[in-house]
Amino acid sequence: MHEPCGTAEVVRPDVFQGDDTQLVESLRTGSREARARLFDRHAPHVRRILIRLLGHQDELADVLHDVFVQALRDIGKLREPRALKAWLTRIAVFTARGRIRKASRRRWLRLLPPEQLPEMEAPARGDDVGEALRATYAVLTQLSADERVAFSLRFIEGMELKQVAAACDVSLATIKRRLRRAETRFVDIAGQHPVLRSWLEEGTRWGEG
Amino acid sequence: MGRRMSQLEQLGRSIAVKQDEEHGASSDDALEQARARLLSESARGSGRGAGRRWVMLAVAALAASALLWLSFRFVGQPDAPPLSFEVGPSQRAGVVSEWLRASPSQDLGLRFSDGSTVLLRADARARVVAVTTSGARVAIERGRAAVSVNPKANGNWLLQVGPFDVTVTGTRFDVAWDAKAEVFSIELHDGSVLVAGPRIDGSRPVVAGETLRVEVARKQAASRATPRGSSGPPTAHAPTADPLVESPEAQLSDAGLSAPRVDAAPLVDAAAAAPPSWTVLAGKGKYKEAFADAEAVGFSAICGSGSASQVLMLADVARFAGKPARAREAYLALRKRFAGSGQAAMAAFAIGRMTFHGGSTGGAITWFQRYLQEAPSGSLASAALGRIMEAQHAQGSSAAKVTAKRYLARYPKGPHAQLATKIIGP
Repeated sequence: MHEPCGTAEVVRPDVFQGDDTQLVESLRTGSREARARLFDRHAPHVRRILIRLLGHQDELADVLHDVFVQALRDIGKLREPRALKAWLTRIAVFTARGRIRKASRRRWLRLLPPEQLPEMEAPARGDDVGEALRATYAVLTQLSADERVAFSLRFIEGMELKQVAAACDVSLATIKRRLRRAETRFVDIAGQHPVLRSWLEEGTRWGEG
Repeated sequence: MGRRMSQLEQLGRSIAVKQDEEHGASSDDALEQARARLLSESARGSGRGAGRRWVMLAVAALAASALLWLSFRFVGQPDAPPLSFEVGPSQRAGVVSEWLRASPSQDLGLRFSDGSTVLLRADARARVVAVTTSGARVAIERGRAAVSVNPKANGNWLLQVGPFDVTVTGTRFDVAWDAKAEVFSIELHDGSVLVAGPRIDGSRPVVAGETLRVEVARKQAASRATPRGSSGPPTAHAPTADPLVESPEAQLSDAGLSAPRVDAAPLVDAAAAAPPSWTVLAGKGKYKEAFADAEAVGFSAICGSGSASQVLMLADVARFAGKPARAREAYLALRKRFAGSGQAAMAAFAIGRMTFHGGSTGGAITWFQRYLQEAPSGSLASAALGRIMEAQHAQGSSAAKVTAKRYLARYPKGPHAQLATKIIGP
């Protein structure tokens, strides 16, 4: 996966001494301390996944909250406590997918809020990755929720195929087919986008960011 | 195929790095809010009786499922709509993202479909940023507001008051933000809220009978909670004598929600009909078609009559379609018609960037400075400061070094940090 960089995070000391298996055991006993530790230990990862999938932070606190509420509610169903992080990733993916679908259903009803508008004109500067970022998510809104999720996890979060399949809870073959569709559609649409077109034509420019 | 894959992987990597830069500090706030809510809920929901409550919850869930099944079976699948809201005495339908301003002599009431109300006191400015099925996000840019959130609705409400976030469940309170003096205050009449923001470590619960006042500009910690009637330091207003403690109904009545008069001055005329076709095309990324469509409708007419969001979108469409003169026209119209709004500030940034790319570094600096004056903590503040530095550097101005130091102090990991370091030199 791509390592996060440039993120100023609030770091709390992880006073819970146990590993994830022990943490899950404590969560199942209803320990409040364990709940706090679950959040402190895994929320930065979940947040990163959500930002990769949603592309913005509107209601990020709400979505994060929803993910952990569901995790706490379903902690009894987790079969393999050592796989806690992967399990949380799956919950985050499904929560974000729900939000994406909801947003798609409502999009026709109203204007895009300004913060979601693609920000700038055809690129006059090769180093402005911010423009590419916004343009990329503008293109991703035109993919299906499943394709968008697969694309974001694979190409933006940098997950391996097996990890993407596990996060989406589908087989490897299914995720490969889904990614092929997503990639083809993304490249088709991005090729017509004033910000992305020249970048796609000159692939090496991506390395400049 | 292999080359294309490589391009997409490089794109993804660049975007991931950019996201981590852009979402750093502000998404920490989200983390803190989510943590505070989760733990405050678990404090209410955990304990010795948790096991028994799970059984009761399971029974309740079964009963609810049965009811839900019945409603599906006989009524059809429900799809709960997001909350709606009415504005002012005319009770016109409110529009998300529209800036609202109470007139200097008259309060302005917002009434939500779940029964919650927000009463903007005279001269206050706010907008409803988003609505969900169970709550809303309301930004209060300046001034005072009396808020009453329906406690029965199990709502999910967030008020952004200046740089402060107030997480609300069911409660009634008065809140104020004095943008000039940078003073935040909140007075709780019922329930409790969580406040997060400057000078507050994490989030701070405020309960009924307390007033929290935070003076952001003061160097020392200046947040304090003063129980009503205590002999503590004076708060923003005296609770007993303050008319804000009236019932919400009385306040709304005062605000003229039921009267046929319109004294409040909304910044935007909200004709919430189906979106114009050019905006639909723009939403699909078809900017040239959207621009042609807008020209057919009347580009200047949209500039003169569209909402702030529409005019901002129109300007962006023109830029994407390669029509900088038209884009500038729309940005300037936006700044003239909606002076002081968030969109006007964004327009200043956009004009600055166009001017910069056009080669006029002096003009660009002026526009970026305007953005920073109007939205000092806006989402583009780091970009604006970085661009000022870049423009000064291009001019060969010694001011670039000063700006670079300022930039690094404020955004040590920002996208212009490398350039700033280079400008400062060894």
